[in-house]
Amino acid sequence: MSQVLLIEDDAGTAEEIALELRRAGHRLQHERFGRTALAAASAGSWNAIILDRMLPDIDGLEVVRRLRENGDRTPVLVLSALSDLGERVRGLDIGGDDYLCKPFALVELVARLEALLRRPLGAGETALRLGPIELDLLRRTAFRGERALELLPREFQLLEYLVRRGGRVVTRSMLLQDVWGYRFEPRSNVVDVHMGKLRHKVDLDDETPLIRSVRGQGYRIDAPG
Amino acid sequence: MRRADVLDKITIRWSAGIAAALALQAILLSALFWWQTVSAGQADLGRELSEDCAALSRLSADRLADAIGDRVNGDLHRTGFIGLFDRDGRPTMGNILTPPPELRAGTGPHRVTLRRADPAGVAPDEAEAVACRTAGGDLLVIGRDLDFYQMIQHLVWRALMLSILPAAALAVLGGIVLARRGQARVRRFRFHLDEITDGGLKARLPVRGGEDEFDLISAGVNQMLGRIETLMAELRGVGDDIAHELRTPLTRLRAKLERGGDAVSSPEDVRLLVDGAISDIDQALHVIGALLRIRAIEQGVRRGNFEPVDLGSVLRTAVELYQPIAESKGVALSERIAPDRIVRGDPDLLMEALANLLDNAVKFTPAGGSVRAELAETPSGLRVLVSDDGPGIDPGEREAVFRRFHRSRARDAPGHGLGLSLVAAIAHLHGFAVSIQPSERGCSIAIDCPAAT
Repeated sequence: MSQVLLIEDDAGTAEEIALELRRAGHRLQHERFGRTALAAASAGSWNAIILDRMLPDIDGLEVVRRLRENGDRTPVLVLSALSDLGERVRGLDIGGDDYLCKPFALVELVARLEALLRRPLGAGETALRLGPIELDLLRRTAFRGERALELLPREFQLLEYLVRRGGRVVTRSMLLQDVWGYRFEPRSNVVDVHMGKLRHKVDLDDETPLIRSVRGQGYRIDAPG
Repeated sequence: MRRADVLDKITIRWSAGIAAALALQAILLSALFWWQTVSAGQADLGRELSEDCAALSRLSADRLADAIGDRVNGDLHRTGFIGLFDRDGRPTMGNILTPPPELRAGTGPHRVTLRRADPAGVAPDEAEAVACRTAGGDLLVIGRDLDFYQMIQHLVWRALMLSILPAAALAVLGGIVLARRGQARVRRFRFHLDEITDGGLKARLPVRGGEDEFDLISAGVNQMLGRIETLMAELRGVGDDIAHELRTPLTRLRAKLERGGDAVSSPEDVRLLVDGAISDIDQALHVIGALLRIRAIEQGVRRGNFEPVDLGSVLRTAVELYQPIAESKGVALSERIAPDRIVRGDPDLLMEALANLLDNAVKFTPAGGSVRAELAETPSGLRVLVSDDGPGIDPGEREAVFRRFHRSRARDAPGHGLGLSLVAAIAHLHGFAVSIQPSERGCSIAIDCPAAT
């Protein structure tokens, strides 16, 4: 169970987020103003902060800046309207960790929040292993058990991303953002087609399927058993 | 009523102003005339008299007496004065009864009243006169009456009066007529404007075909009305389209739930029903999301966030992203991309625009066809060209396809008709131009980026 601080001035949006996060098993405190939020942030111990960019009293980015100034390294997910999406939000150079453009799907918010909660993801490793899957990050080779997987570079990246987040849902837009490097919502199921090809190579017909599609949300790779 | 009062005041001000200007002009003209004739003439006369007096005073007493006699007798029109007075001021010769007291020898010409010393002319007369001493010590006075100048002065004065009054009357009349005419046109203007305000956007202001100010204003207002009308129609159309786009999935959803509610018998059935319902709702949400997104982009993500973007790399990634889906449809997706072409922009939005173009192209191309993505240098900058082997777009629809919800009749494939509006909004934000290019088959869409970026 994790403690999440939600800083959002719009009551309706806050209520929806709160409902969804509680359902996903997180404990949540809601603040409407930047100043009270700063006080709450230093008073409690938080696993993550969800922060609206536009607050009635101070700029959301200012809140992040002051947090970081005080040495608070709690991961922050910034919510921003597309038209307020500044370079600072995009580059997250003030110390925010991820951002989402409004309007967003709650599923997306939860998936990204959970990705933040489980950081850090063993950077600097040269090999990854999940169940029968083994990835050599230097040679860019992949095995399922004894079977070598013939993957295109992009497919290797997709598999690596899934394996690093084994057991957790990754959404299509997280894949687009982190594997392809662009944030946008494609109209067709382009990501699904890429994932379909990857699944064909990873999960043969007579093998236990490892990559699962999660209805309405995205994908997850699970170690069997 | 108050409006009419204001206009009446304007009428009065205008006509009074014109009248005053005309009167001033007449007065100035008369003054000039007076100064050139009366004033200058009297000065000349004074000089002439002084010289004459000096010449006569130098004559001997006898010759002076002769000259005086000649002058008096020769002055048939009785306009001249001449008289000789002894030291005591008694008249000794000439036609002047008494010497004017203000006239002294050697003080130059004066205007004085003189009395003529003959039975018919006892009445005093205004005259210009000079006095000088003769060698014998007598006072010689000569003068000329001013009847001629007084007559001219009188004429000038009368002409002035005669011209000012009709001119003023004319000015007032003209002012009223002009102001009334303007007033009438303003009233007609107001009438039409009121009509338009009451909702008749089809109405237009009258234009006489002339080039006066009213026509220029009318033409401008009419142009504005035309633009507003088009925008209103577009807006109304978009409103209808939104309603339609949302009704379709919602109707389907309702039918599905209605039918499903009766038919479900297993948890599996419920799951299927819920999945179907979610997908219908997602479709409706997608429409709303896309609309909000276009709106946000049109409002303008601040261009200050733009960064140098390798356009070729964006296009290459987009092609790579769509490659599997094209393969699965049996469509050949090829690229020809000039390397290292940098533009200033938002990489995510540019990706979204290019992905949308490829999305359309792949969707509308039948199996066995091909889609080409190109980035090439043009004389005016860079051009991204996405061409397909689909049914193409009618030349008549080449503008309309960028409008929201426009769905080409020829391209009857699933979609919400917002893709190209989104592309247009993104291109516009970057200062790029999107256009449908004429092509032999299929559809060719170009994004032109000016070289300056």
